Amino acid sequence: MQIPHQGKLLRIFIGEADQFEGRPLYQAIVELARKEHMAGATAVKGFMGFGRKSHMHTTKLLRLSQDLPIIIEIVDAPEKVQSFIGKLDGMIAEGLVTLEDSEVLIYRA
Amino acid sequence: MMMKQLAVLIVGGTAGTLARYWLSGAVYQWAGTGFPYGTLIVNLAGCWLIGLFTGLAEDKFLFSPEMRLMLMVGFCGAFTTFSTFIYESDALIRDGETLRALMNILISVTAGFMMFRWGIWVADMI
Repeated sequence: MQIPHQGKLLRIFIGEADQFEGRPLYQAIVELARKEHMAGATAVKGFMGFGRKSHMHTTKLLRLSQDLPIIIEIVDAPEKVQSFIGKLDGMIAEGLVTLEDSEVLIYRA
Repeated sequence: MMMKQLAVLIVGGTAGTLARYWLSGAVYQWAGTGFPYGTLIVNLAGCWLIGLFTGLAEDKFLFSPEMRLMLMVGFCGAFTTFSTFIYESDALIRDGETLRALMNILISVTAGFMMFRWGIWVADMI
């Protein structure tokens, strides 16, 4: 599998506690990306953040350490990313999804 | 353990845990997240409460053994939290905020004692 030099970076910001059909949402998204044969997907957990509701989540304060931020990044060809976005819409009730140009320099296994 | 003792512990403990969750969340909404205000406030409030209950129970004999178990062991035990206090102090140290960590420790312990004594004093006034 190859990614074109000019790809798209899809970035999804959700919460650790978000669920989709009984599973963690981040897991459902990464598994969907794999099922759709995307070039790859990486989920990283943040230790501090806030979103649209301005509720701070941080590991420093135990009371606020539930629902830490998760960012999922997917890089692939523009048309594949657009197709994947269409499947994502129904899964994300709360969060932020961004899309930006990405220059792919290395993609090896 | 007798069923009655277990029941009062469950009632007190559940109420204390929920009260801590609610109060600490409210404190962070109001005061911000730059310092463990939520944990500090619940711990100080808990010290005052256990002082009040101590005064009422030991000096005025107002509480039955089951009531003491529910309020002091159950409620105050669940309402306050030493483990979260240590967790958050350590988080400050790990982030290089050693002075704030020391302030948290100092204020929690000294103000805790003062709040406890104040609670006893209030019980004496009743």
